[in-house]
Amino acid sequence: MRKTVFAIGAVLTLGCGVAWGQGAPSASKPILTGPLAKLEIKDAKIEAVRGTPKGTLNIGLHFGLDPGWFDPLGYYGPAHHFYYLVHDALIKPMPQGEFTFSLAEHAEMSANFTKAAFRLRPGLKFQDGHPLTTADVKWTYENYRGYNFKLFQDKLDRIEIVDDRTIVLHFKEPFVDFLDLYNGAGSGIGWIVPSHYYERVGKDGFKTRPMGAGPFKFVSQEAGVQASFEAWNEYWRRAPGVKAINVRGIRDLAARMAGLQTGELDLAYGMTGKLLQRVLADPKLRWDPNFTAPWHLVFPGYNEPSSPFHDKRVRQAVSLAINRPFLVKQETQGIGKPWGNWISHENRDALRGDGTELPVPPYDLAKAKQLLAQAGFPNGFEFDWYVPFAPYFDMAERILNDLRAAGMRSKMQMLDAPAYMAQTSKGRKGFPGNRTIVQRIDPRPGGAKALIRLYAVCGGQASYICEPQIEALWAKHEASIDPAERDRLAKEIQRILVEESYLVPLYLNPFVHAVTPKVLPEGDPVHRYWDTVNAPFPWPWEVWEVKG
Amino acid sequence: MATIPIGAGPTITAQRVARRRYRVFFRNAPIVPLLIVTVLALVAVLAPVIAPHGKLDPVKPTQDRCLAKYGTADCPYVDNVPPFWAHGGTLDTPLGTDFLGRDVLSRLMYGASISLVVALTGTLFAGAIGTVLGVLAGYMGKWWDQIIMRIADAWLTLPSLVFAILLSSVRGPGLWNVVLILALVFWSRYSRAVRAEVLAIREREFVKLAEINGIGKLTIIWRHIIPNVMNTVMVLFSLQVGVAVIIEASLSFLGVGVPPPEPSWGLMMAQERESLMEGRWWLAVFPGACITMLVLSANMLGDWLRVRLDPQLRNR
Repeated sequence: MRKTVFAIGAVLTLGCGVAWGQGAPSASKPILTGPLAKLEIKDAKIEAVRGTPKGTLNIGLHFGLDPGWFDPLGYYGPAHHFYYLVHDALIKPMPQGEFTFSLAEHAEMSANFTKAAFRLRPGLKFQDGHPLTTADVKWTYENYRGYNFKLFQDKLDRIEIVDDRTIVLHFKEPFVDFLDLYNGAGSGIGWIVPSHYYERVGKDGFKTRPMGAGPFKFVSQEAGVQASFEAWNEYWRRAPGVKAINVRGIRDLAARMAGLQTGELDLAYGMTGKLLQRVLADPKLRWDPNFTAPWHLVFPGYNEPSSPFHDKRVRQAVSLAINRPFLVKQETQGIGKPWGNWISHENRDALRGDGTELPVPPYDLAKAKQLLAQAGFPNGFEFDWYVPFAPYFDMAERILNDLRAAGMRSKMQMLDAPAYMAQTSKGRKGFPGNRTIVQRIDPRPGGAKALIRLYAVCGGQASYICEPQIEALWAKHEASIDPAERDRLAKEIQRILVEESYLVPLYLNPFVHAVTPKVLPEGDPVHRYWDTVNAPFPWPWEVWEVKG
Repeated sequence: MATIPIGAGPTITAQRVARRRYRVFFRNAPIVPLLIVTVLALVAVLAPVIAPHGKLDPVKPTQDRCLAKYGTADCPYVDNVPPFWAHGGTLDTPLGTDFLGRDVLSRLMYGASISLVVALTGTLFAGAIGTVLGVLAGYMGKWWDQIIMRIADAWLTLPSLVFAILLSSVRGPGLWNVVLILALVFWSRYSRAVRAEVLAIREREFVKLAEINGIGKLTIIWRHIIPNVMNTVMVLFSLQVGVAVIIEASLSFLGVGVPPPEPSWGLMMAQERESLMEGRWWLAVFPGACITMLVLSANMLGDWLRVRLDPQLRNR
């Protein structure tokens, strides 16, 4: 009897064990052989119960829309706002962490950084029902033409599709920053595009009517003006909380404010400036400071001897002439923080610009004038243009006013965001002549290295700076696979960039967003929408809820 | 015996005739619009002399004002000071200050010169181009007429503001670019009207006589045609100035006209849209009022000129 009971028990245990083994997620099953690099990627938060989307979220974007932002293959500018709506990435920044699994459930990198492997979740599909496989991942990689595409192409040896869910990228040499750049926030290459659809409709067709694997389906757009999206209930992570999202490009702050007050908008971005006090005082509105990145100035063509900004003293004078505390007070009601680095402290490996690691630049008009005189401009000089980020024209005029006080006179070039971003995405090449100051900001989660690679080294796709001293350090950085050494080099480059005034940081920008009472949850818990570290926009969109 | 100086009689007669002609011409002249345009023109010319402050630099604040506004004794400027009659206003800045502490009155004065320079030169260039092409089309006829008029017709179908915005985005912002844009937008209106006038003039006896006498076409155009279309051109010019002021203001309002920090009235209005929500009405209303006054005055003057220079309307 005992033997029989034992035998039944043994069979049941074995049976359960086999069943458990078969049904267990294969997420942890290794793909690569040999030693692996340690990756810190958070698990996705999958909602067990699928709710029903309710209501419409109307968003007031602070600049005009560019249909090009719907296409991850040509990534530049603030496109992630739309990627998080329509598309999905293998790994992307989420409230859980900067690296969070999304379409991929497992990722590996070899210890020597020459291989990267991903395993997709089972049963993934695009919004048209077509399965999302590793063939789409490969096609996206091979057809990507946005920021850093040359780097991705140059590093790639081959792509090995193991099966529909498993893919291995083989690199010619160690690609230490791969995951940082492949992560959803770093570029467009990690956002998987449906190859069958893209090939059918073409590049322009895709921009006109994008489709992906994200939580919202594209419905319609009026180029430059607005775009509408509807919930895709079959999104793998959860059903979106809202039924529809409308994004309208409204450059005028007063119009966005009026939209919030009349209920035409439920969420509006960029509420700093002349009406911020009104936003803060309005009992019906809730707002989030949403610190993103520091504003900074760059000098395209500064390294040409004929440029007035070629002289370090002139660049220093620009920095000294700007009254940052007063600017912060006027523009942000004191919420912003004068800052000494052009990269946010929330970016990995970034030096803090609050005086702890880099000093907050002082305001010293007399010294600015003195430096200008020493540089050969005792009566100041005129430069061609001051080009601000749209629509921060009032802020730009305040800065122009400060520069004028020191003797640096110019006029403002007012570009709408798509034009501005198209120009700035070319770096120095986007601005003819060498007598222009460009006011920039680049809020994006990730490492400081990604920003240095893009803007501050000679080969960067949007490079404004090309200095032998920095190139030497960057070459060392690229050759090294020691994380500590790479971090040290990245910080050294940041220090040089600021000390030599190749970039002039202004202040850490509170990109204030305001929501109406229609947005749920009521009260302070609404701040959960801004939980993704260093994200300029309150993604992920599927978690947003409004009153129906 | 009284002596009458030689030549005194005819001189008195000539003066009387001139005075009479002057009186007849200015009969029913719109005094108020004339006064407004004259004052604005004078202000525009004399702005650097009469403006109480600079057009770009903030008004230097006193310690008291800094303390009252920002709670510190030292500040670069005091923004949004109301007009002198409102609470907190001061006679130093009679119409208040803008968001950068610049004197609104001074900027309006300098803005007048920008608006007038842009509108007058733009309309003048448009008039010159349109008149020449209209005369050529009307007098030369044949393929000259066909080509010029078809282009003008096509040009006239374009909505002027949209066309101006398009040109502005191609050329980029800038004062002289706006002048060029105005010239390119408005020439077709002149050419259409002038051509119609020339078609009538070229059939007149004095033109025919000149042609019979073998006088060259260019001489006929210069000596006989152009002087006779100048009335029409002047009337059109005066009517177009108002439209040009509005186009310039609209372009600047939309951010594609005169670039900041130059004080253009349209730009001043655009920059203070938010201030209207905050109750600081004066910042947007004053430049708006200036545009309205100038445009209305220019239109009324143009209308009056049209009546005075048209013998049929004049004698009614």
